Amino acid sequence: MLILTSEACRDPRALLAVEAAGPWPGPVLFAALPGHGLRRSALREVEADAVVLDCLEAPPSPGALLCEVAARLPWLFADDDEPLILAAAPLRGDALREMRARGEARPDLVAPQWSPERRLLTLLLGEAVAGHPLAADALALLGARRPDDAALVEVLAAALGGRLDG
Amino acid sequence: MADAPLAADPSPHRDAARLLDELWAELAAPALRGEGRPDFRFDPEVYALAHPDLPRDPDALRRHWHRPGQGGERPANRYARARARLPALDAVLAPLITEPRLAGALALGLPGAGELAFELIALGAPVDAAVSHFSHEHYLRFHPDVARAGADPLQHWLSRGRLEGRATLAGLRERHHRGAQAFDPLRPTVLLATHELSRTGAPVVALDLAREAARSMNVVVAALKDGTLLEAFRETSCELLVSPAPEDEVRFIRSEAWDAISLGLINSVEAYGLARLLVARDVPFAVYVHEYPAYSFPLHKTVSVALFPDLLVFSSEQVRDTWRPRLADVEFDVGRDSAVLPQRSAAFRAADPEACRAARGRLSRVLGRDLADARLICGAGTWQWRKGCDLFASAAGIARGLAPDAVFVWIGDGLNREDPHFGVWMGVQLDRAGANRPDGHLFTLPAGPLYPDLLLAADAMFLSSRLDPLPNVAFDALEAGARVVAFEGATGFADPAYAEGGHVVTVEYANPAAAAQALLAVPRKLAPGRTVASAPPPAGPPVFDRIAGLLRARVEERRFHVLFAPGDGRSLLFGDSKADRPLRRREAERVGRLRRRMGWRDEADAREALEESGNWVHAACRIVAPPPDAPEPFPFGLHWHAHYLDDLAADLARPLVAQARRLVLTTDTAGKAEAIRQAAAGLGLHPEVLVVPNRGRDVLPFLDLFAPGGPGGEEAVWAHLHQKRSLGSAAHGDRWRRFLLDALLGPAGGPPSGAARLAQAEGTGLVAAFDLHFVPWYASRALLPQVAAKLPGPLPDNPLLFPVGNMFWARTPVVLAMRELWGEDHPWPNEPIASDGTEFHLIERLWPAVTAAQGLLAVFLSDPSLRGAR
Repeated sequence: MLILTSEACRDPRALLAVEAAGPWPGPVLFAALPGHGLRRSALREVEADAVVLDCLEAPPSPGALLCEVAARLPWLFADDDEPLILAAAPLRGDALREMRARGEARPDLVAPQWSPERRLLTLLLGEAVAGHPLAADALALLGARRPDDAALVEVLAAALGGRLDG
Repeated sequence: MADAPLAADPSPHRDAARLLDELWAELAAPALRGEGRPDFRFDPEVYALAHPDLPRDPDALRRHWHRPGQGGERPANRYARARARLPALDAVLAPLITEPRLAGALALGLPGAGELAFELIALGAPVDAAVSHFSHEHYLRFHPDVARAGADPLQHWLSRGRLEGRATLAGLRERHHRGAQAFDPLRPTVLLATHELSRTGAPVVALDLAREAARSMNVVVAALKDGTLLEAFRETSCELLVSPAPEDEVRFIRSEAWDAISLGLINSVEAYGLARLLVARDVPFAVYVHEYPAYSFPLHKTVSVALFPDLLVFSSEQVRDTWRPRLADVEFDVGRDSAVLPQRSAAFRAADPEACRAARGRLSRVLGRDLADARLICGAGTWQWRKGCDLFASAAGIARGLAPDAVFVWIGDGLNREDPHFGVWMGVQLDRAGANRPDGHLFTLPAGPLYPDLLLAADAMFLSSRLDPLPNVAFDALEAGARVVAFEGATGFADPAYAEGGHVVTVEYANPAAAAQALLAVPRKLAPGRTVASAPPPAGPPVFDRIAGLLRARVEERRFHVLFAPGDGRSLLFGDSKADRPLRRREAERVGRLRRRMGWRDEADAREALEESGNWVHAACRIVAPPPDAPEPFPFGLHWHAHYLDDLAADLARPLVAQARRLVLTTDTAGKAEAIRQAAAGLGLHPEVLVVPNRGRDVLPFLDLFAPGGPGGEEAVWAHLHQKRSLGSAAHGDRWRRFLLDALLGPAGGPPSGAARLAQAEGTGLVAAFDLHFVPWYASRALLPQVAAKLPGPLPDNPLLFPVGNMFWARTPVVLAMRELWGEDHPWPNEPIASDGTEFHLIERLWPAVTAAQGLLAVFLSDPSLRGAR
């Protein structure tokens, strides 16, 4: 699963065109945060390539967004055994492809990148962690307790048998 | 008061005391969570209140209580205080207790049992509801006056509530039934909602759906009202709740099945209240619509049905067509989010002549009229205008003149000859028609065992309903080999699919003569040598499975979701309390992801909708910020219609009012006119006060100012305002009216509004407040053909923006154009008028169109500083 916020890219179609040789394996979600600047008609066009999450208010953190997705759209997790990538900051070049390769090579990986304020910039969950049968439930339950991103990542790794790297 | 110290008890009392202590330790634990209160007989907080001189330390207080001679007569727990006021406290508590051991202790009269019961309940959630029918939270939720007064719920119930018959959990638990089916956690769980459990059309359909659903799912049934089908529903479900407010009550039910609901099906518009529960839990759901919007009131019922479900399923194409205007009001995507699935498949079975003759024989004996060779026409249903029983009787009279052997028989209940709205008049018509005379042509039967005989015996059924979506009686008639004659546009049986077999015939709407002719043309069942082929129903999966399949697919295919809604906007389903905010969020997110329209998100949202519309009216609409400069004084007229005088003096004190060159107030009585003059004089104002007929709300009094010779034409720009309240509750209506007045005139004691400056601008014809309320045509849509041809282009499918509340600034040519649109001689309706769908409601929506037709702009002032007023 790939979750891109509008802080990672203004329009996911362009990014995906660069990053993916073909369609991205697994669900692609685009979280349009307040101020994303895309018109409704543009968001409709994005739907061809991504599930659009129109966030009327900014999520408390990228981690909270991930938890909300798990709580509200759990079926997206059900049949997905790909690595999970959450990107909430601009990405360099072929960063997505690299992250995906890492997540495939190290299935138990939980690899966050942090802002100076310890907010998630990106999060990579290896395919065993992302595909864990309890991943969606765990995220939804954790989200209800409103942890900060750092606590979320730590507990998530522990709960789903992940190896924290970062 | 507490029992004597334990040390003094004889042995049996000691055993009882130990039992009660053990119960306390076990049952109180969830509330105490390890806090030290080992003895229910002693509550350190209460004891401290009774002994303010002692230190607060609980252990010290307890030692003081134990010390001989020091505990005294002062209360050591809440029970002691309550019992001092109510000596029969134990007896009052006994029926409330549900915990079996505690109830047993009370029944045996164990000393201290009542005290233990009281102290456990007094602990509050979750102990109270676990041991008794009393829940503090439930009591406060269902008796908000107690909550507002800050009273202790338990004390309130003991002292007043029980005497007033106030609801406790006992009532809820009586209405919450365990079903005959075991809950299987491995199966999905569906909530099936029906408005009642009566043996009538929609609940019978709901029961069929429940039975189908139970083959693959856990079924939880919610009904707003009880009825005779309760046992049948219980048989097919895991749980059944009968509740007028299920969303509020369900939280007090401990149930695995309720918690597991993952799909919802609301059967019938009348059960729309259950949508609240499903929206709150974010459960995907469908509504199965069996009703026409024409008779589904109040308005918010049909609006809710259009706004919230993931899927709308109609029983016929014809019913769906009647919903299209309402669906367009909320921008519902009919192609994506609706489907047509009849509740039954129509099967025409050729009549068995022997069975037909036998049935006629039985009916002949009951009616006292030989029906062997009659041309027999039946009708069925409750006696009411909607069913067209009067048209049935009229058709019977007409048919008799054409075919003397024609006999009409209506079977159904509900004819009350003392009912002045229907029964009286229907009774008179039946009497004049000679109904039920042995030599007559018109008979009535009560609903009951003769129903199958009547269908077997009848050559045809006359479905005389004025509106009847897809009545089961017509399916029954077809299955009994009786053809059906119905009115065009009155029923789903008018769908082409039913006409194809030739077993359903439609005639001109509400024309009994046409119906009589069609009925007499129907081939007789017992015609010599007649052979008729049966038409079996098409095979297919059960209706429930088809609905569930469509619903699941709809949810999983969705590519657009709305998250993190602020929850501070307008809500149709939930209250405006802070506690309901998460629920309002769910509501807004649901409407957003379905891309339906309940309100504007912000100005940008409205601007984008205007731009995407492409309609000529919207091309002339602008949303603007307040101009930075205060308006220069300029000549204008100000009209204020004051049907109500509340707050008028305060409103007239707004600064722009005094600047009006011409100030005209209208009202409907001389007394009010005098009061207005006095109020205005107190402000140094001397308006013209005109007494006008109470007709046309605020609209006609304003338009009439512009009649030839009236004051309207003497000013180029007018402000139009009024005192009427029409939206929502009185409190909300007041808040909203203040918002409009602040936007158009400026706040009381503040600077004049920028709206006046905008109104002066060249090219501007109308200035109104931009309002986050989104109000569509609603019932006014039906009136559009009256005026559409007089406008330069087609009117938009949705008005999007107009001066909601009918307060605005307008240039005189715009007002004159509105007058001209309707003409000098328009027959305006008198009061009382409906709350929607009159010419006056349409005029409110037409101001931008009339402005655009004049080549002028309709400007909507968006002032963020006023947002809080909405």
